[in-house]
Amino acid sequence: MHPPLLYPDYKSTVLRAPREAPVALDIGEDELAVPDFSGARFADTDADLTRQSTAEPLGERIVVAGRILDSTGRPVRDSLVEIWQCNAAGRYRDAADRHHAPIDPHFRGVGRMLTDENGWYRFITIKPGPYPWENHPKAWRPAHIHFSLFGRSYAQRLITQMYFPGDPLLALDPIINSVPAGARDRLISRFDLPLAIEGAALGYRFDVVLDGRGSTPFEAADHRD
Amino acid sequence: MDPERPLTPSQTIGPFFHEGLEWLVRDRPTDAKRDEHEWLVEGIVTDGNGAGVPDALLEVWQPGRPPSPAECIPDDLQRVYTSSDGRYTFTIRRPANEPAVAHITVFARGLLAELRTRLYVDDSPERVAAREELRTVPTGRLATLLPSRVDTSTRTLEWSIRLQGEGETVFFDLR
Repeated sequence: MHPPLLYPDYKSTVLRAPREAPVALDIGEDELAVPDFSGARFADTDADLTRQSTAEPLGERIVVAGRILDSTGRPVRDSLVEIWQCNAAGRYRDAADRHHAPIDPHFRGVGRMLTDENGWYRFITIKPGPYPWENHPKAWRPAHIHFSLFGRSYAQRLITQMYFPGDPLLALDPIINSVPAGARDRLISRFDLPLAIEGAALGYRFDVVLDGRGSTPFEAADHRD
Repeated sequence: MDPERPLTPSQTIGPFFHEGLEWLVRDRPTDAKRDEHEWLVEGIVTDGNGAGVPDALLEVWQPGRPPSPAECIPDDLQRVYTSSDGRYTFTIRRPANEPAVAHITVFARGLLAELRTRLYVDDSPERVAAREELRTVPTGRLATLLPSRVDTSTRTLEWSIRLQGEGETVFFDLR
């Protein structure tokens, strides 16, 4: 279900993917634990990327929301969700991004929050633009938002990307196409009108299912779904 | 019993994560301010050509450090970015020179999923080799999980990560 580490169509994998098979290892006590962010202070604007500056960013305002679940359908609560993305013109704030597109001084493209007790997260942001990269001639990444998730144990740690439905670049992108065909749809958000804010923003739904590895037995009592 | 839900696949962290993940990157004491239980680890991430990997993120997980009081964010997870030549430093906790294990996860452009490895610090390499959980590691590759140099006077270790090729680091598939 996860992509293979060596996927030559995505050229950067060729010298970076290990050649040896991974060594099986029993999950240890440390990997059953997870960093505790429950005491961390988050501002409302940490989850609203359109209100992190003195003026609003340019672009199409959207809501991106969904649930973080484990493979048995149990919500992952109080868990850190981090996102980062480029702006509406396809430019990241990151110093390494040399794409000739304007930086939006009012858009940093960084959000974070904890899931609620039912595993929900919700961000307000700007729809990111596609941008060119040097993988192959006329290569452009489909619009995407990066997601970083911790789950309930460090064994569940996941970093992935969320895409948008109907994007013609999806069929051409080696990064999403590195995922086995039947699983690619899980990375594409769903247009979701109920999530929209009247007169302000359309909505996209993106649920994430983390591996059940490292779910501790006592949490079975948490099952409310 | 509910049917198993299909898992969300991994994707690369890409090259532009620095701004987004930076809030958990903190400067670690290198010398004077380091307490006696903290050891400095220095190393480099290299690719299949032996070149440094300038856009990798390491997460160093060593549960049990007390939270950082100022920010109320956990201190037992360290985020470390490699420098333009692929080098990194982080610290591990090793009270009273006891054996210590740090869990290291590597993310980078070109890695479609994270790589998990461990650093074992122990005065006796034989004791590491005898550890039950490492029975699946081929003997010839065990050294990649140990420091290549130990300097007890400065409490500094050298340990590097080779993503591919000669001396490739052991990466784990957690079960």
